[in-house]
Amino acid sequence: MQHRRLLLGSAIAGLLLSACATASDSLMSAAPVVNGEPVVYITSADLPEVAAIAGEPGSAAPLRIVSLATGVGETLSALGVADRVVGRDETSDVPGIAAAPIVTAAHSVSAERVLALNPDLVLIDSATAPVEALEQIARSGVEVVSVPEAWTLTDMDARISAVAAAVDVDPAALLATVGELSAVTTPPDAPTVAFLYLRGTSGIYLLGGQGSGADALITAAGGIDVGASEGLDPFVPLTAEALVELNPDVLLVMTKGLDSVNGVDGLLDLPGVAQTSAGASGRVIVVDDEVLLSFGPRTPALVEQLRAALVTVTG
Amino acid sequence: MARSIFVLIGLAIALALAGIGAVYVGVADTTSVIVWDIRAPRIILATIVGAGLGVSGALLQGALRNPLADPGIIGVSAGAALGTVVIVSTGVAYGSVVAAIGGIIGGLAAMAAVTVVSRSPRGVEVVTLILAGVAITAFAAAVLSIVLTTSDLAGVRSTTFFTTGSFALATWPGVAATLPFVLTGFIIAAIISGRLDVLSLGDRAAFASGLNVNSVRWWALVAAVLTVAAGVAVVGIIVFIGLLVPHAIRLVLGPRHAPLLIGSALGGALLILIGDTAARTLVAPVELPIGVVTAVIGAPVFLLLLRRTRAQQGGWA
Repeated sequence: MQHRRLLLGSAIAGLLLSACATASDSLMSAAPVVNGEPVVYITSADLPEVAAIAGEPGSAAPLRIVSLATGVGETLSALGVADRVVGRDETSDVPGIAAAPIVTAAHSVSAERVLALNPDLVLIDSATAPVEALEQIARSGVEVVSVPEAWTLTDMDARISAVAAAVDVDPAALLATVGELSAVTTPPDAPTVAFLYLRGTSGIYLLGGQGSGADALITAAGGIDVGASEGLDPFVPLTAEALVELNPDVLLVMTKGLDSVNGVDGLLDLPGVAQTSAGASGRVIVVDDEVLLSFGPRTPALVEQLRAALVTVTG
Repeated sequence: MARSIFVLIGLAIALALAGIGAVYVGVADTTSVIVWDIRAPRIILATIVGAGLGVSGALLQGALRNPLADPGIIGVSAGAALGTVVIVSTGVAYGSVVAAIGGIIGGLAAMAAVTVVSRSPRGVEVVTLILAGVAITAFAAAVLSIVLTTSDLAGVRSTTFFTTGSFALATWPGVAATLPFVLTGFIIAAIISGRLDVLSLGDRAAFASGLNVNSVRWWALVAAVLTVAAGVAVVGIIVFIGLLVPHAIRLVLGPRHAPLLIGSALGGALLILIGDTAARTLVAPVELPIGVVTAVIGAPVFLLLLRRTRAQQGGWA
């Protein structure tokens, strides 16, 4: 669990480092054609804004929240307590919360910066580090609540409920909207999708496997995750040949990862990528880093977008 | 003499067989696309880089008269990695000829620094050279980390890539960026191999027999950088091969440089080719970084050589 979060964390750190890079050119959600290849971009802007869905917080609810659990900002927003968030980690980058100061550096929590914000609730998950800083915060009398991680669509309910309980809001309304995601049956001729975690022009790329998070999204969107169906670990440094052998129809990548290999052209230059069915016909779906694995209120909309994107690229 | 030729022919045949074998093993079916686009550049790059590492080690050990010299140990590889990253952080593509030139400039700078520091009136001291190499490697790694963390280019490679070396993303352009420099180094090595034999008698004896000692040493060190630095720029740092291979060849063929250099090229290529084939097939579909494999085998051998060298020189304390 830890190393997945670290990977996700480094992806998001990369995002922050190169924040100025691409916002404008990835703001197209239609299917632009790159060298005659269908590429679909799904950005934060394509998803509905996070609106407060739940009811009012109770009278005993915390007033000053620091959110350190990965990507929980989206859920706090939907629960209607965005204005109570006074500090956050790099990953809770949703409107309404983004203005709160970041109290982590390189994924390490600074106890001093957290306590300086005088919080009455600190939300963490099992990947929040270092433990020493969290113990210092707890010792000073601040309530520290650990919420469960979410790597599948069914994990989402437990996570939303835990966050809601911590901030004393009734989650029923929010859970109802998330629950609208109906179970899908994957047809046997569904397109196969490989989730590639890219990190630099000549770094080895990793393939998402069982429990990468992307496998749950791909299944819900009506595709077959090639890594998961091979029973591979969440993130596997794959040989070029193995990717050719898996031969996915579609590649799923994150925006910053794609930037790190110099775009679609650079992606198709990687050994093993061009020789797959997806590479040969250039079928790529690009999703913004901060929305792909957040498993929050916007995930149902993301799944719909992914489903549409799969149809678009496979024509 | 005849024995040398038999051993070298044997090594060449083993290398050819390993190369042919590597074409046929792998995860995917042996289709022409797999072989031509994925396996062939990887096999050829492994051969070039391995041969370069072997020759580089043999040149360094001869020119510095130091049995523990290896481009990874004395800091040349780290300098090459730094040179590559500095060039790449200006927007040049990895695996290009320009990036390889950056690696060579970095390698030459590290080589200059390490030899200037460890030179003494009695020649280049064994221990000082190794310690200077440690310091240069640490310095280069530190600057490399600074460049990597401050670069706003998303494509800049991770630090771990450079310290664990890998052929996973070998491509034909990578082969083209490495081959000319390694070949140039080989040609220089071939030209000076006889003079390196004279040099091994000691600076004074070599000078007395009419050898331009400084010129030969200088060319040998330049060739040692050329044979290794372009490879570092494309596949990262692979340590200890330059140490192991010449020692093994010397045991069989003796200290003459002509057979030693040819044997080190063949032996280095063979070892890296087998190592890389193992790296991509042993735990398939997962990829092992080859630099890790060579370090696990090479570090204990280095320690053994360290003990032996110290005993031969009567202790260093």
